[in-house]
Amino acid sequence: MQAERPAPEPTPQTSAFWEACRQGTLLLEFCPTCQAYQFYPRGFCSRCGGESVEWRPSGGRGTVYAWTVTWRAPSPAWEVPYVVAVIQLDEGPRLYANVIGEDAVDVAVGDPVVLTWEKRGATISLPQFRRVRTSKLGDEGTSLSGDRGGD
Amino acid sequence: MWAMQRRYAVVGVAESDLGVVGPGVTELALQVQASRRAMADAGVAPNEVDGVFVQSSSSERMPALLLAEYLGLHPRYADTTMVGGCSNLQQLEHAVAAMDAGLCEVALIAYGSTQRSSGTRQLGGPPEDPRSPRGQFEVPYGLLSPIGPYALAMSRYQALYGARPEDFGGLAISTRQWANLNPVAYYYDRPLSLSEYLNSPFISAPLRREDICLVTDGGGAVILCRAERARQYRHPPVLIAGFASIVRGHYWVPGLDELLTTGAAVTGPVALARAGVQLADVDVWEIYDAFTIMPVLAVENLGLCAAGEGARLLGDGRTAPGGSMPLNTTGGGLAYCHPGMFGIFLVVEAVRQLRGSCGIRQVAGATVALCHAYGAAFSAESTLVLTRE
Repeated sequence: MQAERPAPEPTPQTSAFWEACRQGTLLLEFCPTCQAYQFYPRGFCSRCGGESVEWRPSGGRGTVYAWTVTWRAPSPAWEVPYVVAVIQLDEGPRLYANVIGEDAVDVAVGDPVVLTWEKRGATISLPQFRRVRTSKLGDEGTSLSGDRGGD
Repeated sequence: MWAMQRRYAVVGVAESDLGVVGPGVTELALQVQASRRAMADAGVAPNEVDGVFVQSSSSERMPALLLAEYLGLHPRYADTTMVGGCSNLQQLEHAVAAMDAGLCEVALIAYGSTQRSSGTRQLGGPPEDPRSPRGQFEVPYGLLSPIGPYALAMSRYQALYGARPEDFGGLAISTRQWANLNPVAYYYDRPLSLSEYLNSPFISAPLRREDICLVTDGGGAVILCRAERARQYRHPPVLIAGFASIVRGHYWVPGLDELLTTGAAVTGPVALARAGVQLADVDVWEIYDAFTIMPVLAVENLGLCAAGEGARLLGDGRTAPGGSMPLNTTGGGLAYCHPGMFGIFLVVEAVRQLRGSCGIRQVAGATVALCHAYGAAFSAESTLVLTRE
């Protein structure tokens, strides 16, 4: 039996986040006092301590801040090579994600990326990213919401 | 002048057995061995030790209690600070502060781990609670730990500065040359060539196997006391001139302001100022090298060179035996030993260099040593400056 990749387990501070993921939306906490987004969500602002953080949807676009191509799997659930990156969202905060797609292993710092989703277990939709490709007609890679399929 | 500058000394140092100790030897046994050797090295009697500072990389939750009991110590002060690989350096700071506050007189700092023989090292790191921040937002992505965060830093470093694999290879080769002078180093009998470095497989690209430290068993211990008291013991005291630490996170690399601006940017200048020492005064460098990118980022952030210059600087041979910048004179985590954490070994070697007791590895005339350690993937760092009296 194929081993399963690990799934996150939502908590009271993150249940809204993961529910929004299931609906195809990446939510970020925004602090109106600091006028800044933060990630990961924790129910209060980690800069000022304020509790008035509010959820705002991310536009799902960013760039690759750093990448690594994993060649030794940490468990049988993973098929190498695969890419793990720190993604810099256009809104400011950074997060971990895989860069998926057939061109993922050619990823470079600064590459523009767009949000996509990977089903993980029965209840989780995991934020992932694809490299943005421009065709001769100028259209871009993948729609950012509603794309629930994974590689 | 900093009130604690040169008021405390290291009087005893020792390693335990290193390498592969075999299935019957516990980490407690290595901590005990290192501790007893360090006490013997100093000529300190066990009943003089009244502060115990211990760490390991295992799941033992009360290592200070266990070690004190086994050694027959009755400490007034116990500390099991766990901030990753720099834990023993932060414990050294705590020991100095405790002694300065009159809470203990003679401090034992010890480390030991059998992660190699017990087979407990995992590429993905220890299991995480799936509800924790890392369990939700890191583990699902399969990042190796702690290899992954350093690979991320290396990719960004190479992209911003155009550093070549040959530069990092040069550092690995220079470090191996020190190991080839050190009979207890894991790779004592194995030189490293550039082609071997370049042909070694990617583990988490751009980190190759030869960019990554060993996985061994091992332990170490140091004994500290006031400088005045230190003179009664067996060796010339090595003085703690200055130190500084920082704590910034828990492996959460995406939350750092700038991945390549590391804690050394803060701890280096503060430690040097406290010590009354300039970078140009440093004779021997012991910088945690679990990954080749670590000394590279350290020397830049300590201010030794500009951002982006560190790989070329450390890769050109100057850090090798006979060079102008002796670095990691044991052979480092890359080639001497690496039992999960490395901070204690930086101190043991720096003290030996300043005592003049390193034989063919001796840096002639070494008077000032700088130790720098990382913990938990850029989460905690410490700089320590030691001097001869």
